[in-house]
Amino acid sequence: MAVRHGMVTRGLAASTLGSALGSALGSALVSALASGALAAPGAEAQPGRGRPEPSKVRLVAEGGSLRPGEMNYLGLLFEMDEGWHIYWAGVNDSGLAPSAAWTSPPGVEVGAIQWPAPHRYIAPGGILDHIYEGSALLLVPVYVPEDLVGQTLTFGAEVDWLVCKDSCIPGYANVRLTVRVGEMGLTEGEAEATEFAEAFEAARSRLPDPYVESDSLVKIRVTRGAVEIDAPGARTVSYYPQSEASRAENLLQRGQSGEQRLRLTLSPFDRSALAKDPVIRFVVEAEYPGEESPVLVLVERPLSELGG
Amino acid sequence: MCCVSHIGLPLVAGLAVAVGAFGLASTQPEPTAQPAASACCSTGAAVAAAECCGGCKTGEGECTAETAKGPVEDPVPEAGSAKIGEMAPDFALIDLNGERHQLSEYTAEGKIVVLEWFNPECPFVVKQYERFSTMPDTYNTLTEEHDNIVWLAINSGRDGHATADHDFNAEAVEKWEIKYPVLMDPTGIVGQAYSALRTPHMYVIAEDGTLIFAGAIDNNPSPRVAGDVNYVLQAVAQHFAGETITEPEVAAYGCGVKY
Repeated sequence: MAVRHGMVTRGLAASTLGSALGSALGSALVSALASGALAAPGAEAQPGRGRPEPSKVRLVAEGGSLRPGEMNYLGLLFEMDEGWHIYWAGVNDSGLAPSAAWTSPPGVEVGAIQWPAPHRYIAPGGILDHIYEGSALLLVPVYVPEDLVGQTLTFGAEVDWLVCKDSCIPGYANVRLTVRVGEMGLTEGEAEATEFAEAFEAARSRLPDPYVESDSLVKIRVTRGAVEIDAPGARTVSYYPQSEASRAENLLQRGQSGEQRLRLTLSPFDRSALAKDPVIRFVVEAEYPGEESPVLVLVERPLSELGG
Repeated sequence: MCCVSHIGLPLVAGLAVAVGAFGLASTQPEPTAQPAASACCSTGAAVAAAECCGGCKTGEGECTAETAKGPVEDPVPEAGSAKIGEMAPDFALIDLNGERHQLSEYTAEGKIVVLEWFNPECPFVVKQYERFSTMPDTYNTLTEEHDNIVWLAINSGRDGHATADHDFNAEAVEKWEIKYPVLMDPTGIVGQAYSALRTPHMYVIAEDGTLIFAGAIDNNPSPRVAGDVNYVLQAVAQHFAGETITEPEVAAYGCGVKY
């Protein structure tokens, strides 16, 4: 139960995150279309496949069936050739994060993408991006009502993405997934796992938890103009700005440190992006010696809550 | 020594004052007589004659004879020096046809200069030329409405990078019927001065040399969907109307510049 509870908590927090991001990035980052309007009849019972090489995307399910009355997770699984990367939905010097427009079955709501924490990537000329390499699974929360027990549901998404190495290639794919809704009372562990269960676990291990000061090893102080992060004992600390309001000066040098602390001066400049999403939103990653998993936290502070 | 090696602030300021004194130059340009450069070069009053050379055209003023003797040295803009509301860093680059373009020469003539960071291989650039004709349309609209617009595309791809290849760029110019020069910046010095991160990344420089806009051409970052706000047109229109530019700086989208 603990695991599931964790998932639901994350789902709610990240759902807020996703909808705010959608507005932050302007164009349909994620739009959950009205039920079934575009659903194609006779959908294939296999994941959709997208082009072009050197990357592909599939819509996959974690388990062999969906759990009714629960929050379930689908995944947009991107697989890239070596050296190629896709972009996190945050402040980047180049590139573009994937976006998806959903077609969901009647009565089912598709939530906003939950983005695992990215990695920093620096290209010649000091261009800093936050990216995923190798493979990336973007989590998509799906709430399945109880009355759909036993039904077979088809989800579809039009996915746009950009994959880059030294050059960039835009990708577009119509992906689809047909999956059955299992019996009531099926726990997560009992639901038949698919070949993608590991990818889901890996993605979850990179999902930031909402920052709660009292619970966290990391101390974060946010004002209108600055972010101060202290992570005593950490080997590295990284700051991943996710909204215009969290854009910081000299991120290339100051966004990551081996000094157990970061001091960032905020410097948003895009007024329209700021007006659409007036929230300082960022992810902090702290790695500790001898610890396999880093601390990953998500901080969201509406500008309205911060004094002038 | 004919001309100063770096067109420094004294000259820029001098030109700005000169342009200011001929405030109508922007609305009534006379291509054959550039008040700022002529005033500077022929009188040599406020600024030493040697400092004028960079801003003079052949056949004008006292500098001509000296200018002919040796090559003009290029300004060396400082990395990260471009700031909205401040003088845009001066630069000189050679285009695909071997012609030299210096920013301060254009602004001295009362031109508004649009810079477009360019890489014909980038899907976002392709979007704006092929899927939609945002770039040519923007250029056409501006030049139809105003006769003092100069548009310079700049490729800051490093020397040897496939996307900075001369012929590759020349083919794009032909294919897309690009009407403005494509300047090559193989060392990236100009791109770095303007902190140009992406292609396309747009800049607008007013007649007085002030940087008045930096950012995306429009408001839709998708390679497949056109935007409905053209930030360059908006900035230029507001500039001509004497209004405050409402969005002087927006996040650019596109590929990274191949420094």
